[in-house]
Amino acid sequence: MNYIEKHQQTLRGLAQPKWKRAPLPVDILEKEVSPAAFLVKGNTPHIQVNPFSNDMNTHMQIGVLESEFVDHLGQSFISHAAAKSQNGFHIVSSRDSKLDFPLQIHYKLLDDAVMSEHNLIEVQPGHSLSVVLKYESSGSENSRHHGKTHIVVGAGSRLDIVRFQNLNTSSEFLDNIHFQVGEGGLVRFYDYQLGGYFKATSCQSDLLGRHSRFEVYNGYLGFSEDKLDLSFVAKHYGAHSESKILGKGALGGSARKTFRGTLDFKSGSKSSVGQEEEFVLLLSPDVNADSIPALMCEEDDVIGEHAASVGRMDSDLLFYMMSRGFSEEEARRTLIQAAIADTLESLDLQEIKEEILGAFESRLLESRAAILHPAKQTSTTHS
Amino acid sequence: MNREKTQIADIDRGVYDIINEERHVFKTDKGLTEEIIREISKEKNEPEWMTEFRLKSLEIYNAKPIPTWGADLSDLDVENIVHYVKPDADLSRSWDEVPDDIKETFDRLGIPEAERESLAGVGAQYDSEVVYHSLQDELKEQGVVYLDMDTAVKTHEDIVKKYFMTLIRPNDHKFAALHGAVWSGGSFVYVPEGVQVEIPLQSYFRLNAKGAGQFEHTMIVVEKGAKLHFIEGCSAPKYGVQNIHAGAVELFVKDDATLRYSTIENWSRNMYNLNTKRCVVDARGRIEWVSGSFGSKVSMLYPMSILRGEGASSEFTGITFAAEGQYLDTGTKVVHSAPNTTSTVHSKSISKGGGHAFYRGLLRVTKNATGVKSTVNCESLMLDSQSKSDTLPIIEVDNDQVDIGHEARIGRISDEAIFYLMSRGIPEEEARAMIVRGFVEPITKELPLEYAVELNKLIELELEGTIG
Repeated sequence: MNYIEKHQQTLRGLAQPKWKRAPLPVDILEKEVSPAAFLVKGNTPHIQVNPFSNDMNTHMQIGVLESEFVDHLGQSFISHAAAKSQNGFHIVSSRDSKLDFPLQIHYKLLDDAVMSEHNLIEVQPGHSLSVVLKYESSGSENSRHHGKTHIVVGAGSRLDIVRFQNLNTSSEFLDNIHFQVGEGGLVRFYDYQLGGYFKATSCQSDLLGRHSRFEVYNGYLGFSEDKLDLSFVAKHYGAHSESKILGKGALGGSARKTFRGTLDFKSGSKSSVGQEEEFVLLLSPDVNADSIPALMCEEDDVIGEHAASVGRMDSDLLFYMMSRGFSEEEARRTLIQAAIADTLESLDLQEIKEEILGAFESRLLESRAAILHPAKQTSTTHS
Repeated sequence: MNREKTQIADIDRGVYDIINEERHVFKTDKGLTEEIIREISKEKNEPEWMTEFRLKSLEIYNAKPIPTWGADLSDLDVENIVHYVKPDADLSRSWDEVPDDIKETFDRLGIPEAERESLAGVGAQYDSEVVYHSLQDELKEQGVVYLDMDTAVKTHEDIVKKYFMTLIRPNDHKFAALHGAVWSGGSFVYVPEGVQVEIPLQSYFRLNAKGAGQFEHTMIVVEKGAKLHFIEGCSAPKYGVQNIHAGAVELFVKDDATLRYSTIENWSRNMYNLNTKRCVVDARGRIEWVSGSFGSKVSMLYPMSILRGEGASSEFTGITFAAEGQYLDTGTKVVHSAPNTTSTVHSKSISKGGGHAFYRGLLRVTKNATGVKSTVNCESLMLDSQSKSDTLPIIEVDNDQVDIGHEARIGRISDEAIFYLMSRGIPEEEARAMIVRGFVEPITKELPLEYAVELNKLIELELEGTIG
């Protein structure tokens, strides 16, 4: 039985998953998949980019890698992406791939279709690579994305990866991403969840080598009845490994968000350091904001820290900005944008950075009413 | 370089481990059946409603599954536990009347001494029954009631019936149902409106019988504007068989009232401590929990504060020390269900010698609870790399008018801190001990003196070799 058949069989045997915090759309695993249109930019002859589904070697490699991997979205989603994937690439770095010249893959999801994506990215020892994955809708109807990406970062190599999800507001986005980082390897993962009414993402990084590093920067927006379940896990195996998880976002309307950040220090991860921070701005009295920061530790010689802050915008700051000529809406928008920009600070790809910030601004301009909502509520809530 | 690890000695439990010969007048069979429940109820001469309540709880208990999250309870064999042991002693109001061996045990634990020196009232429970109870006359005159729970069911039936297991319902979880079915002993405190009880009351629970369970029920009602400090101490000697403690604590804090509830749980290492504690706080009331968890093989303990009156507040200060063979899953739950409520959580844990300390917390803000302020702070100290320490504080917020901050930190004693202290002329062992004492100091300063001393003794350090 080959890799795909194995997952097809597994998928048939699994029940429809049930989630408590962000209930799943009913037919989540039922719909048939159809490929999305894509555009690959910045592909130098040095970087190998092969369609994933044709490549049997890739299947074998993935089969070995994923035996270790259990993510929070659940086996159903792994098997779905593996059994039905019609999009996706096997990307291998080369000595000449450069950080400032990213490989960009831009997907346009078709209306009323499910796209299933499966990728394997290998950054060979000593190489540097940057990859941008961008998702947009081609129309305004519902589309769905199921993704699964394995990334192997070799010793002394570096990967900057941007995932920018800007689907329309009637779409669903489900994605797994799994990193394995070797000795001295560095990964910077920039994850922006802007569109889609349902966003469930799971990211796990296994810091296997000594001095391996993993940084994840996440920015999100949730309005109207959006549901977000975002999970980031850093597992420290190697000594002196370092991780950083930073999540910032804003919620309006009656959006529901769960942010899970886990730092897991395994035995042997001596002198490792992990840091997790989450900030969420609440813009409406009807939001639900759940935070589940977890700190697991089997090693004494480590430092693990997490911090979360949940609250409204600082009224003194708003007042100050308004006294300087900003309208209330502008002031609020600027503060949200500033929070998102903070997460993009270390990204060297200026063009991508501007595109992301621009998209956030447009979405905030569209959601004017949601941003201003609290002003109408203040008089009633203290009664 | 192969660095030698810091060694911390096992806690010498001293007096806690002294076993008395078992002398009882009544002991149920092992396991749990309707007959056993009826027998317990009959033995206690309880009103009919209580017997019915017990039987209903037993039904729920049989229907509920064992929880699968948190601690591994697969070794717990409830069928082999004796649920009710009545010691050969009647409830005494005078210390002299308490049988000698039981008196000796409590003497060793320092209970009567504490009463003489610093307490307004004392209760002592031995196995399933309360053997001694006293309260200062002055408080009695002010209308304060401090009784053992079994007596209160008869003498203050209206109050007990109104509140009994309304906060912790038998269908909350399997062990709440077990408690509802077989509860025995515990304390009942009623503080009338406006009465300020300045000196603490104390109950001490001692489980002496082998392979038995202790299921005491504590109910405290603090009426409007009243104030109380209640201290609870628990211990048991070590046997080779399992013991279970599934007590329930229900606290009712009315408008403008304040209650401080301090606990030191120092059960033996064969104990499954599956205790449930809840408090409901009305407008501008305040609950302060001070909680120390040391003993037991497995603990699952999450005192819960329900802030249901506007302006109510809660404070939780807790320390957990998990040593070899222990899995202590502790934490706290706070539900803000009224506007302008505030809460503070300070939790510290130390794990060593393969012990596993798990902080599990929940902070929930309901939709109508606007203007909520809350801070949660968890710190864990690991003394070696065989131990484990986990932190899982869940925050659920359902409106936007809140200000919530959460911080957690895990780590070991920093070499820099040791180096600094040594550069000031303090020997390394002393420096290390100072840092650990400093780590727990925010908790010890919240405890009454004799408990602070006990806590310090419990974390006595013995150091050898260089820093790990």
